[in-house]
Amino acid sequence: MKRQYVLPSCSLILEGLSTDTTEQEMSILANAECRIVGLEPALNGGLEFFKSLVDTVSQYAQGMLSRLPRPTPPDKLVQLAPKGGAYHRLTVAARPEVDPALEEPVELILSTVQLFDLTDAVDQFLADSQTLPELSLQVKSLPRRAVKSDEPMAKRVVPPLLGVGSLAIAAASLFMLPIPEVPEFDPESIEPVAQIGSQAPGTGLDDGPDPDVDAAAGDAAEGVAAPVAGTTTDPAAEESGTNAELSEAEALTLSAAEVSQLQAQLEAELAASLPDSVQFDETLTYEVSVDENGDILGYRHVNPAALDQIEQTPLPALTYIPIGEEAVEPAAQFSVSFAPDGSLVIAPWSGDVLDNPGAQIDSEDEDLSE
Amino acid sequence: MSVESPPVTEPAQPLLIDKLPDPKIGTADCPRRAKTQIDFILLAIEALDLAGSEAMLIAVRDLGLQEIIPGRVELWKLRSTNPLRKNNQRRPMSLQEAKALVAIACYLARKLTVLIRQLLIAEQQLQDKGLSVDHHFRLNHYLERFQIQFRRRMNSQRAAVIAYNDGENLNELALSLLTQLIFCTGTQGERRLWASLFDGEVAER
Repeated sequence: MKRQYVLPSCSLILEGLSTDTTEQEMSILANAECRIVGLEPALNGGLEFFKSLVDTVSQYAQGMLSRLPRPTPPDKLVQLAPKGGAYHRLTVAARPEVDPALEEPVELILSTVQLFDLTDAVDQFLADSQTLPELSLQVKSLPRRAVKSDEPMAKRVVPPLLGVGSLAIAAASLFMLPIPEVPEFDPESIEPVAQIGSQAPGTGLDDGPDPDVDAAAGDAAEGVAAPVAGTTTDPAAEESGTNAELSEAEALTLSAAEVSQLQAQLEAELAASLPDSVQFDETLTYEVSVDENGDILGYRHVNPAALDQIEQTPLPALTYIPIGEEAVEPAAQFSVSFAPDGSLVIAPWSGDVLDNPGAQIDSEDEDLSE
Repeated sequence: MSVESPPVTEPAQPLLIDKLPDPKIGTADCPRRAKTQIDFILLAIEALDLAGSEAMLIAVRDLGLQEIIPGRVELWKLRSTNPLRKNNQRRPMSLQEAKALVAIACYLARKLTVLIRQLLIAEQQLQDKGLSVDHHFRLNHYLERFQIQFRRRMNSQRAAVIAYNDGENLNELALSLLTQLIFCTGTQGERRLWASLFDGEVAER
């Protein structure tokens, strides 16, 4: 019986016998012939040759796919090795004991396409459960040991050392700092605090001065502030705080009407430049500063997605870069949010991260992912 | 009300991707190299096929992978787990998700078999004659498109991306991806591509 696997540039012909009565399954191989179109000679051999061919080709192909070469062990009858450019050298060792005509090794130079066809002929054979079923595809990933790290040792060692080093320096310098002094508690000075209690009736705090009131109010304030800090990195929270002050100071120079006019102008400008479809799936929020003419002077991302996706927004293209030495001062700041559905929300920048939908969405995302 | 088609019963046949074995990497998520490699392969497919990204969504449907990749956004998110991307999503890629992408890549590569073979043969012939790639229109077109897509999407701050600032290196990557793609078109393309993703990652035998 005969089985053939024929591809455009390679054919594999197996001749053998069946041991079962139905004669469906080839279980004994008599001869295997592998012929590459345009190359001489055809490769011939018995089971030992064929097993070696299958294994070598299969392993080498795996190396081609992962770009981590898998050299054929030298004791293999069939060898494959790269031969410069996009060629591969297939050699079959001399087998004078099999056939006196094979006393010289055979060498074929295959192109990548020919090598692929040979691989696929082998794979088709391996997938065929009716032919030599004891042979099947064996593809295994290389173990860690077999692959050297791309990065030299020095490069891998430096980051953890830097980490430990900076922790030590931080610890040492913080150790030098004096413990902050807590001012002596003076019941007289807390008088105005009672008003806080009276502003919040029903909290049971309007019983006059109480040292706990201050602490409670402080705790409450922290309770609100803590999630804010959690949504973003601390330095960012601090920065947005100072920006809020800045924007307030600057906004003071403009009337409310002027600010809302600038806002409308910014909105129109951004809306006109919005792309037809957007490629992000998270609201992108920016702090955008404009000058008194409404030109965008700068922007800063509020949530991490906004940083990654900046190119998806019209902001970089619309930002005005002042000519010459003279700096243009921002006149107003706005919070600008680009939603994944293509909508745009602009509001005067409050500096409060909690007001920014982007920041909240981001924190939700983080919660989900963790 | 007339019903035009009988209610669809879920086919009980196992998905192709269920045949891909879980690698012994000691984690349920894909390593960095696997995420990068899959995305690069898909990038090469897009450079070959102008409608590649649309074709991926069609492949999801044809292969019955909607449960793993429900839509465009999820596909984009998955591909953006490639740590070299500009908009890298800092989320893991599960093995199941990676298997789905491998199935999509091989499915699309098979549709492009003729083109992939032609380009590889063209590269060979140019090399034999000592000619540069711009002597072959289609090959040059592929390389140019790959360069544009790569530069647009990858984060140029990353060391691994900086290495490709040189157009020669980037062409080399595009050509080697073409070679990887032809092996994806084979009978065992999925299993071979899948195993190749974890080279150097699995525990000792």
